[in-house]
Amino acid sequence: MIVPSLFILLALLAIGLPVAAVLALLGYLLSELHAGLPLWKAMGETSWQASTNTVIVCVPMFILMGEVLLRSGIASSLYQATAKWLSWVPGGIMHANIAAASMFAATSGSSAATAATIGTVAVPEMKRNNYAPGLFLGSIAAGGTLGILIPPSINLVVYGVLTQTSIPKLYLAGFVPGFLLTALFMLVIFVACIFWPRLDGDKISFDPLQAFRTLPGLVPPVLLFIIVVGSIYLGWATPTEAASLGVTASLILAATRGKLSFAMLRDAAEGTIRTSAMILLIFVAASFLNFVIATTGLTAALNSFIAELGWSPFQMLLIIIAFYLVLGCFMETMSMMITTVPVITPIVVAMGYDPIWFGIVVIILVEAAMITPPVGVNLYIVQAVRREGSLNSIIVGALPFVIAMLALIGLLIAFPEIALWLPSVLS
Amino acid sequence: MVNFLPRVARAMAVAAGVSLIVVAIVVSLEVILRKVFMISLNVGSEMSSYVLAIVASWGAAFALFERAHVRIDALTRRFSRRGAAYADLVALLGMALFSLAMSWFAYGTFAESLRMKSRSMTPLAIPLWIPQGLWVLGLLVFSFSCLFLLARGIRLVLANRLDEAALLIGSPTAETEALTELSQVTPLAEDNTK
Repeated sequence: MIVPSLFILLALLAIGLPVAAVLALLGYLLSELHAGLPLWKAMGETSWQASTNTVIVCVPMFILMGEVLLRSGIASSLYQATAKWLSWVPGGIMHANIAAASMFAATSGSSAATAATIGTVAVPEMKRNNYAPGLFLGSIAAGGTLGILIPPSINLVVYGVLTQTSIPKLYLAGFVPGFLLTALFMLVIFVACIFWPRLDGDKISFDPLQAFRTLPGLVPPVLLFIIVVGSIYLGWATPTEAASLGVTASLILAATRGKLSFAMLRDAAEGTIRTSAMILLIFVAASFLNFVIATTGLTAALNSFIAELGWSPFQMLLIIIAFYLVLGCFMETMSMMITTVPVITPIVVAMGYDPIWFGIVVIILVEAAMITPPVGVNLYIVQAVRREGSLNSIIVGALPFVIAMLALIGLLIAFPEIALWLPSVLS
Repeated sequence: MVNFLPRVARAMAVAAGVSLIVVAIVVSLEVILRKVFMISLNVGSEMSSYVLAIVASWGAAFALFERAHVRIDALTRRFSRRGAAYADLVALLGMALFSLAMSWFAYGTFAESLRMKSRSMTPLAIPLWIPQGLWVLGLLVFSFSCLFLLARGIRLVLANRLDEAALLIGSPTAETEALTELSQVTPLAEDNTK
């Protein structure tokens, strides 16, 4: 029962059927083959339930917030500020790529948008200051991925809904690994530039006066972060309400910068719906499939199948990590999460791992998927910003950051407290 | 007709996006009223859940025309141009079947609510057929768009106009997707660096 369903799933995906259609079709087939009842008749009800899930409202809200921020121009001032403060370190403004991306992404939901935004302001700086393109562009692609680990994160919301784990706890769990990964990325740049100085650009000396003058550029992202994440932890707002507050705040921010217009709102609305409708359709189809899987007892069959394999939890975990790394090369990341998490997380939890902890591990694997070829959205974004040269240099330049991600997963396995300490202290 | 349906889909997407903006502002006001003035309204949460259904269903057709529904094309990209065109048609057929099934069962849910006069279990007690009717409407437009694109795709492939077919129903390459993402940022970003 397991092997044929898995085979059908992979075959339908491989011939290029849309992911949402594959999930629904698989749900239909499983209900025809394995259920005594015509479960597919419940599709209307499961779809309505999934389409009105009050927590999932976060997803389009955070996407909308990112779309508005993207058009508000805060990224440019933010980048200038971080560049002025960090340019004297070995690795220079590559550190600004990471720091600005992690701050911008902490207020925006989409890592692709983050890479595009930071890339647009960073690439001219790369040329002006004679940086070697590979590592510089790799750092933009990698930096862009940080936003889904540091809260607020759309991917963590989706994980929380799929596995019924607490989203505030997941957010808390994301903080320390998020900042640790930021530090690891900077360490990668630092070490690389110490050993291979040709990767580094022209030195810009630190000018305190100029640096202080750029500080106002940091205010909007910090303010947004406080509104969105702060309101959740003060107990003022649910994650959905916090996301709505974030949308309103970013609209006000855009207005104060003179960027708010009907054309801008229409573009932001279109951009939001394009991404949201795609994610939601997959989510609705997956909800139907998960209903069929749960009712037909496939989860139990899967767990006994795994038990019969006789692997240790640790071996199993390594296999799952390898599976995600391979799958991530070929699959768009949100659809990868929605498709796999509802099935894999129960297995991992049954082996004794913490679901909150595993959520963080999955997010890091999703980040790796965004910068591994052939399907690595951030690689292509950075290439498109650059408009010249080969994609290969970006792939190679991003590789050290993939290694940093794997190192973080290793650390998380050795010391689960990295993720679990903050949620345990604060709740 | 060729341009009419995509235009309708785009207008519906903008409508869904605008209602999302409106609901964000309503929910924000509600949070402020609750915290500052201790006035509890509790309509935002319910409103936002209906808007979510509208975003999902009214946006589906727009995402289809924008070729935003995710597919895995690592394998089909290696096919010949004709082979890839057939794979695109099969993919669209799959989407059409899925959308028709969704519409059919969603209509069932809607009709049931209408017959039972179901209302939401909240102070608002909204008759459920209203949001569900809007939801079904979006899904019907989505199904219709799938069938419309399928018909046009088949005609183009049979007439051997493979390039046009690829533009209409093909999976966008990573490069073009990146350019779409970028086109939203670039003019503004350049504007900001002044």
